[in-house]
Amino acid sequence: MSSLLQLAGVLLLAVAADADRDWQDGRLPAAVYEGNPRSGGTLVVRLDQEPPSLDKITDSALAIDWMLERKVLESMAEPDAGKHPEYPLKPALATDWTISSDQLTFTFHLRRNVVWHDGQPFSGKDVVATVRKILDPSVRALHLRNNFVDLEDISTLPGDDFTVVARYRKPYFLAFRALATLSIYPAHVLAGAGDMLHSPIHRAPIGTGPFRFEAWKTGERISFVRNDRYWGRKAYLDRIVFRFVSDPAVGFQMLKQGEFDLYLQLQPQQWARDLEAAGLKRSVRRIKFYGPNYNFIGWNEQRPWFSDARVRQAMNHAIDTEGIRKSFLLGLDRPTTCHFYLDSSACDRSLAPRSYDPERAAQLLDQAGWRDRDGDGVRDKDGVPFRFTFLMNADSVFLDKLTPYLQQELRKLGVAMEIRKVDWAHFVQLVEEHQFDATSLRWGNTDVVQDPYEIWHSSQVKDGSNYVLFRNPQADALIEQARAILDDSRRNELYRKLGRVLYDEAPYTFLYSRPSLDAVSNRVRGIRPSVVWYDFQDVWLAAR
Amino acid sequence: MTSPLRQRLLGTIPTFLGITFVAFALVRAAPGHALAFEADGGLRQGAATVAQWNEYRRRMGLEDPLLTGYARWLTRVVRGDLGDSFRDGRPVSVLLGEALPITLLLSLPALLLGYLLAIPMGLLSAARPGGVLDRLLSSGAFLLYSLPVQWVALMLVVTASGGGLPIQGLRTEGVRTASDLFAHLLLPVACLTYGSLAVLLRHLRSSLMEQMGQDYIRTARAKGLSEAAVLLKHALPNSLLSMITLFGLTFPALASGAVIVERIFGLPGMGKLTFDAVLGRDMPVLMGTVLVAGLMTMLGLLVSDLLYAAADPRISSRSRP
Amino acid sequence: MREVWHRFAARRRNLLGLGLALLLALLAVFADFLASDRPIVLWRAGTLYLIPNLVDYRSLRGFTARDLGPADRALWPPLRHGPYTIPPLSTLQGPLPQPPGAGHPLGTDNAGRDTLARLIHGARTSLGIGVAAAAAQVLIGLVLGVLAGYLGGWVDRVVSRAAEVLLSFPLLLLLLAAQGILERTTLLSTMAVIALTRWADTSRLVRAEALRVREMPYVEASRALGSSRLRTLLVHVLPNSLSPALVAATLGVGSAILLETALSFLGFGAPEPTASWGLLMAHGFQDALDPNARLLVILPGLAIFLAVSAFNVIGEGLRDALDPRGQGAVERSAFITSAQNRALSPMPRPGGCGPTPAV
Repeated sequence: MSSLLQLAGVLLLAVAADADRDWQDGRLPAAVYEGNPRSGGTLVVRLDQEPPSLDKITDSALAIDWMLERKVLESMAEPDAGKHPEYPLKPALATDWTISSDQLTFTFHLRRNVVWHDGQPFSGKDVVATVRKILDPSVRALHLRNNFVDLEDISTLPGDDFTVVARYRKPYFLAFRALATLSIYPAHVLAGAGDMLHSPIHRAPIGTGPFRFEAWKTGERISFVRNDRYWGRKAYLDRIVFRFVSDPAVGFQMLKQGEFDLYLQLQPQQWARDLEAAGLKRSVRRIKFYGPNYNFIGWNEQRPWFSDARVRQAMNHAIDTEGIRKSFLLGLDRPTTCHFYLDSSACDRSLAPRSYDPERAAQLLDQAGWRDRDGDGVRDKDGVPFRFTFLMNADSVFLDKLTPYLQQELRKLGVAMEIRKVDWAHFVQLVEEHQFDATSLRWGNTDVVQDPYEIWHSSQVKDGSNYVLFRNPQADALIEQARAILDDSRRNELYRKLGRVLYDEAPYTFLYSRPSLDAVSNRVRGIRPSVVWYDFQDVWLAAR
Repeated sequence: MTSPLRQRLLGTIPTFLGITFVAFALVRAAPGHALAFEADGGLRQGAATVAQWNEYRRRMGLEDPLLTGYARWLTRVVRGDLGDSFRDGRPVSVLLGEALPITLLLSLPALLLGYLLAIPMGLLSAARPGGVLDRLLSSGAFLLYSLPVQWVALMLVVTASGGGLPIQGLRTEGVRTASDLFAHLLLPVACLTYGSLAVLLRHLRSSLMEQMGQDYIRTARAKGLSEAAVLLKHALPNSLLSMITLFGLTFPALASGAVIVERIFGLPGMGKLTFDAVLGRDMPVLMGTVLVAGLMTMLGLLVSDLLYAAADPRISSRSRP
Repeated sequence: MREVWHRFAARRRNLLGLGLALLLALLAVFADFLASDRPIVLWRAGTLYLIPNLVDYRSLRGFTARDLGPADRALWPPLRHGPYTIPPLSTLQGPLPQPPGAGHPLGTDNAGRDTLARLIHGARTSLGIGVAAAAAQVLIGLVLGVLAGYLGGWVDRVVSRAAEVLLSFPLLLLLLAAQGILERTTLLSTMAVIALTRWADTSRLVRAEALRVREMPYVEASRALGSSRLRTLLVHVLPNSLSPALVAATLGVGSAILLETALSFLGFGAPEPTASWGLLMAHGFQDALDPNARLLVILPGLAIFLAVSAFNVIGEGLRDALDPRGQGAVERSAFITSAQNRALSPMPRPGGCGPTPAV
């Protein structure tokens, strides 16, 4: 017992300050890109969770995209990871494409020298088969199918398997991008894959990318090896191994032992302090990158307390978001008031987060008619006390800190808040069925271009993701108008107007955009962080 | 012997049906989606799970009446079909086949080690009850036993990784040696052993004490045998018999896995499988783990009955305590 | 009774355990007088407030130490922090959790709350869960065990089968069901699940005792004398079953505390802002490599260790005292109750006794 304590005492390490910046958006220090690339070696990557499958068609887990996109599976075009923050499309399996003047017909010209990992040749038939598979109602592909609702027809040209033509019924800005970046599966495998769930490619994907699937050891690792028949420049790495280590403390110990070349998702404290304290500053580089995601508190507008915009604004003023950011989140997160990717022109950066101002909050509550009439310390209106339940999912480190703070601050304002904690599967069900008063969630996306329709349009309260039941005619009009505009800057103009509406109506209390906090070993060269995650094709390992 | 055995075997069937039916009903009643995989408060845009889940529920027969569903599950199981996982589509039997060996690789050495340590310690304790050694051993085992397992595991991880011991998984990649496996098993098995040691020690000690008060021991002493000889040659064999009797009762635990230890040390055994299935509402997998538990329970009850009857003929198989 | 106490008190270890348990119980009962951000007695603006740390005076709402005027007088608890109070975030200096220092003798947790205050109030939660769950489980087990053992027949069969079912049932599955039924994970659901799964141990050993007593000459005599079954049950069988139940209850406290810790670790613990040792430790685990956060693992770990060993020592001592020759039902199995719980193996083993390797 005492020896354990002593050991723990010895391990007490000095707290290091978060001083120098060894990262930049999109670029690491120049040294990372210097030297002549050499082939060989295995890159070991830490992931905190094992994906349910390696099937992009049936599952939408982020880790699947990370592992497969542009590594194993390829699409006709891909976001250019080097061009932050716009990420325009660049050719991949297609060499070029044309969009008709009515913006309803897309024509892709495909590469001819591409072979699948199993040796079969690639052609436009594979593109068509992949889209058809997604449209097949017996396949669990709803998350992808939504992008193709207005697709009229997709086919190859007669006599030319390398030209794909897709026709749409309505112009929709995401239609082109969704089709162009769709991961393509081999037609000859899809033909016998049924609902995908029982097909070998569900867990052992076959693609055209620079790496091909090697093995999956359940609960431990997934590995990929270099595709030596790749159509483009062959990758430098021999192998990539993703290891699943869920416990953050154990993972960090393994990082100290030198088990990883790339460590994904460090805890904020680990990133900000522990790396340096553990003497790892010289052997690893830290990476901080803000993806298109944000945390928010959502107020259910159908509940009596939150139907009035003034109340929602008051909730906003009641919370010291800057204090939370600094003390609970070590100042790493970026404050946001915007639904879109913060670095894109869809955001109006002049909309500052509402200040921490309890007096203003109290005023707004008074104005909205919530006063403590019966003197029990809790405000009420029309006989309804301001007593609501905050729904949170178990396992959230952030909400374990935020909710007691929120409860305390609101109590000072005469608002009683209870906390209800349920596990994730239950949580998702309750949120989707609008069975909550208030809750907190994070929206994440893998692309910088996105359509707010599913989350903010009033039609989406039923089967979409408009969980807080936000209904606003002005917002609806802006969202619908924007859908038909393919030009980014004109569309983003409308989105900035939408941002203003959301800011005033305050259906969400927008909190922060959370960075991904990673660490990469010094021997890893040519790696480039981006919104669309890391590419490994240019990565090579320096000699030890 | 055969007739009571058959009777007993039949007697375990209601237990088995009870376990599986209650589990089936609970899983069906448990709130939540089976398709919400991504945790940590984040949702992906475009992952419309409501409609997808409703469609899936219908296709998987989760909307059918409870008894119909259970009967269907049971008939399939009898035919050897455990169904496919909701989560990854693989047959449940494959998942169990992956997880069960890992769990046994942990639980069997832990059990063996527990017995191996408990026997000498129990003998030392019983040799001089109330003596310094006795008090030291029993208190020590006790104190260890009162420590939360995740606490011990973390302390082991922090201290042992400094010494270069592996703290994650079963093997170093590409290494297939027994010593590598041994190094990986060291910490988790230690975590599994320390708690059960106290229980085993306590049992053996009291059993030995009980034996030492019996008439035949007095006879042996009267014949002039040394105390050590009495303990080793007469008391120990009888006590071991009673320890072995307990063995059958550990069957379900051997196969059920340990959630916390598996989680910390990254071992994909039955504990992790069950925990993930619970969190993911993966009904076929959950029912698979329950099935294993039910079968092991039946087996354990039978084995302990047999051993009990063999060890102590006075007990009929009917009035099992 | 006196004899039992003498035998119990004869061992220093037992007394030590009892003392420790009492100390922790006092801590739990008087937590508000030891750590609170409100005074015990307050003389303010001509009014005397008694125990504002417990009573919510309307005129004192929002009162903090800073509102204390020069003429006011207050008697404060030794630690002027409540377990729930998060200081204004703008006043926080340095990253959370904070190291021990002025104002916070053991530092703060990762939401800026005083660790010592949370530990003291955590005693209330953890012991509360332990005692309540153990009491409930033993009560259920006692009643069902006596009925099964004494009445026999179908009652016995049903209870025994039910016990077997429960003992080999995945605990997490039950928790999940409880979450659905009670609509949230609360202290109550945690306690209910512990009690509902653990009564079977007690019922088994009580049943064995009842079986034994039933065959005793004096029971048969009293039945021959015409006393009713119920009366025999109440007068002879129940008292004799009490001692194994008592031992099981004591040992059950420790195991329930450990189980709460394990559930918190797995994310099935009580919601914020509850202060419990298990939750405190689980929060520490979120960044167990940070030296300050590690204190949040080590300190609750110590508290749990002390409480569990205290109750286990008492339980063991009680067993020895109640059954000095190490025979009979008390000896047989009571210790094992706790052995199963600590494991949180999803499927606890069914037996009334035996080792549990799957910790």
